[in-house]
Amino acid sequence: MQTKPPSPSNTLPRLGELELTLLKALWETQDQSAHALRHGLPASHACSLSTVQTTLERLHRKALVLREKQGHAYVYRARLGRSELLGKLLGGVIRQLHTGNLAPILSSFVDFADRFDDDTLDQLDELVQRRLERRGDK
Amino acid sequence: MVTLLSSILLCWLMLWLFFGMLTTLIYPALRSTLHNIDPAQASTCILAWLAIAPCAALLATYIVYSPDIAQWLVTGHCHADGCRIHGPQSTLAMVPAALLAAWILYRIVDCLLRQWLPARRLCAQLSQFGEDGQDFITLASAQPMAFTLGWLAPKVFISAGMQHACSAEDIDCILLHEAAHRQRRDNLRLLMARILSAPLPGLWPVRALDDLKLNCEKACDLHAAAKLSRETVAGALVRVAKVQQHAAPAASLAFVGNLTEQRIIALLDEPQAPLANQIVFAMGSAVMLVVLAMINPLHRVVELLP
Repeated sequence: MQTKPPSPSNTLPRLGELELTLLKALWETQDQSAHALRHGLPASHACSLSTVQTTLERLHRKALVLREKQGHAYVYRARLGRSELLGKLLGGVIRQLHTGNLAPILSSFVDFADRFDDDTLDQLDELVQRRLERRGDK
Repeated sequence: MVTLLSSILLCWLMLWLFFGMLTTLIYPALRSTLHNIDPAQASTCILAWLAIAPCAALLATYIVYSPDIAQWLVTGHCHADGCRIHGPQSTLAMVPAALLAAWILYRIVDCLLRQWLPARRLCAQLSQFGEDGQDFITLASAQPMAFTLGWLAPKVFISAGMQHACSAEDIDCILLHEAAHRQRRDNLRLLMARILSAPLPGLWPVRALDDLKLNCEKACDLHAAAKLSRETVAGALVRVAKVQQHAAPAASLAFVGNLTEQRIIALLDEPQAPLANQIVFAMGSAVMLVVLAMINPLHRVVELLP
């Protein structure tokens, strides 16, 4: 079955809270079974073994975890490190903000969609410096 | 009952579009005034301006269908069933009312799905990935970025790349600016503006939305400048723009409209005075008079429908 490519406005990875919690657990300790992961879950995310297994299955389908059969159970490890996944996530968001494919959902100190040429920035820099010098003279 | 409800709905929605068109046509005349007043006040005025269309439409509809009030504004006339005071009704209102309601609902839901949900998801994900500090969350990414994300409880995110590329004073400036966004709930303000203008055709509200964004940014710049100085904030903007410029992906948009340049120039210009209360009162009164003046013709127009 062919997977439909995500539309430009919908390319943010969809990760639920439990998926993120399991990923965090795998970043801390690699090679864990669903059973071990369930026991390590914080009380706020307590759930049944089958829920954990289903969530891990989803993460596997999203290519975010690798798994290996050991005996009767699978052992899981994160496919991407925390900073790699963060980089991927942010890279996608920034690219979409730059190209205007993502509706503006955040306020950044300098707008991501702003484009300058070096001359303009140098001129603005000079302007600021002149003002600072003038203030220093007073 | 169905006839009355669909007439009320049709009246409100048509008036929303009408007032939307009217406010869009008048907006260019207000722009120069808005550019010359305090940005915090200007951003509130623009949001209020965008809210006029749905609110004035609702008020006018309420008056038209409230006999106690309408009797003072609608000239007396009789129908086949007598001369009592009445709200205008149209038997054919149901289909156009349903179509208009579906269109407006679709536009608002689309706006929420494209903005509210992705931002919530992104905020939750970044909060999980980042390291929670006292005032902001650090993202372990080399990409230089600093932003506020979230609607009701916004959070400030600053990447490790930005922290390495900027001086301590620039980071202070960024934090003060983003703290102002968080305090003013600017993301929510912008979302509200987009929802209020969602039913209007695509390009109508663009200018007002762009001006709102610019004024929100300017207001936060001034908040930071009150603690540091206008020149310090302007300098930080130039330096951060340089850092971001060099890290921008190759497929970036060509220059369309440059908010940052306008913000730097505004910071170096003379401070702007707030709008006098009398002018705000006069504008509010003008809107009220327009609404009241419309009641009689509106009543007649609805009755002209079959």
